[in-house]
Amino acid sequence: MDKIKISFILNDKPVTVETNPNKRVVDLLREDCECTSVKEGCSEGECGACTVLVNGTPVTSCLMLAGQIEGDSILTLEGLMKDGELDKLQTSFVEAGAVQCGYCTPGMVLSAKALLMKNPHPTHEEIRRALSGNLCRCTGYTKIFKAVDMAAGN
Amino acid sequence: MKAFNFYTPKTLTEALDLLNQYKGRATVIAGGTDVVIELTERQRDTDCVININKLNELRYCKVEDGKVKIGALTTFTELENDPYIRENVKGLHSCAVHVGSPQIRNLGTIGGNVVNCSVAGDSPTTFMALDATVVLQSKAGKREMKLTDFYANCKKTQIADDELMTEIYFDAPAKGIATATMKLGKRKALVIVVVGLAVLVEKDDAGNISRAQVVIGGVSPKPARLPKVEEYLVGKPVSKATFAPCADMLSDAVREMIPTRASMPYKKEGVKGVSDKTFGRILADFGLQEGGR
Repeated sequence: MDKIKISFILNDKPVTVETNPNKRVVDLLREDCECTSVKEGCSEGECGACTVLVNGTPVTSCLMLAGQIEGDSILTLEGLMKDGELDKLQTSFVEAGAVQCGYCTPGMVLSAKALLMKNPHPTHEEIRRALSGNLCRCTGYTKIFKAVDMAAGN
Repeated sequence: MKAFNFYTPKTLTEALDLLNQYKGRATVIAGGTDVVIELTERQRDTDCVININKLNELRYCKVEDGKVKIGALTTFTELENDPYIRENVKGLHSCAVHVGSPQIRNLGTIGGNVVNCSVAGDSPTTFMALDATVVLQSKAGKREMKLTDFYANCKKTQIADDELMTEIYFDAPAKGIATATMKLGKRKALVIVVVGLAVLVEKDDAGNISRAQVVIGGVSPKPARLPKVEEYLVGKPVSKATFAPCADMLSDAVREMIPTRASMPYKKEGVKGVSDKTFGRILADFGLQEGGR
């Protein structure tokens, strides 16, 4: 197996990683890039815990091979904080008490971030649809939706 | 995951060369939503993975010469957001909207869904109701095949080891054509098809049905056209009363298709509701009655 070199933008910084091609993006980010906010849950695209944004679009990183993100721009939770300040969404998750065990939180925040980047004032139904690919097994959905509502200024 | 070499061709020619070189020992990956799971769970052994996801020339949805042409790399999200599809091919729009989750729709491609042809896949049923044709390309040239033939007489599909599906196309629905799709799943998001139904109905100037294409999915290994239902519909007026008996006809079809399957009692009842809703949407698309969700 030949190693591959992957160059991409990770949280606004260009990086180049040499790695084995039989790695998924979730493994690449966690093992080679120290982005441990990216959680592995079900490993089959059902739970959304491993959600990252590729060119502003939410995807489940357990369903992508490392080599597929060549040239792309990746955003993980680590990249959300700007100049030591939490993102508005992160603050609203804290204020709404939208975090229980926390395992689904990075994916939830990123799916919500992708929504707000495209649609700054979504309706409640649009929020529910945008988060429909993220499961919270503590079932804390009400507060999670409330947090996104708060960040959207609803 | 087992070891393999990884290639990202930059052009279609380069991809076809690689396929030709690795004949049968290569795995093509587009969105990856099915293939990566198979690789991770070691259900698939391969010498190399050819990542065609950067072949942007295969990412389009356009109307040309009276055909709707969809590039194989078009994602479900792109299809969902296409204004032409939303207005004119409601069955396909509704199919795209209900695939997996936002994340899956952002990754999953039309080509992958059609070629992988999962028993519980979403789009093959709809494309078959649209009587779509797939375009297959290899180094030796291009060939086209109706989807019904593509899925006939074989375990998966008729695609050869050195071929890539590049496009799927169907006749742009003329005035007087309505389409609808509905899937029964266990909840709204992230569900695979338990029973899927896709319908195309054409009516003549007198308001009678001149053509009907009815396809059931999630029951047999491949989506299946239902000639009995189609023949029943042709010549009858487009009305709720005409469509009502389809529920029982579909229920009988399910019972005949999977007489011994444990899920048969559930599916034969479930399909009745699916029938009423799908044909309700056909009426709505004709502007006759409300369709519901």
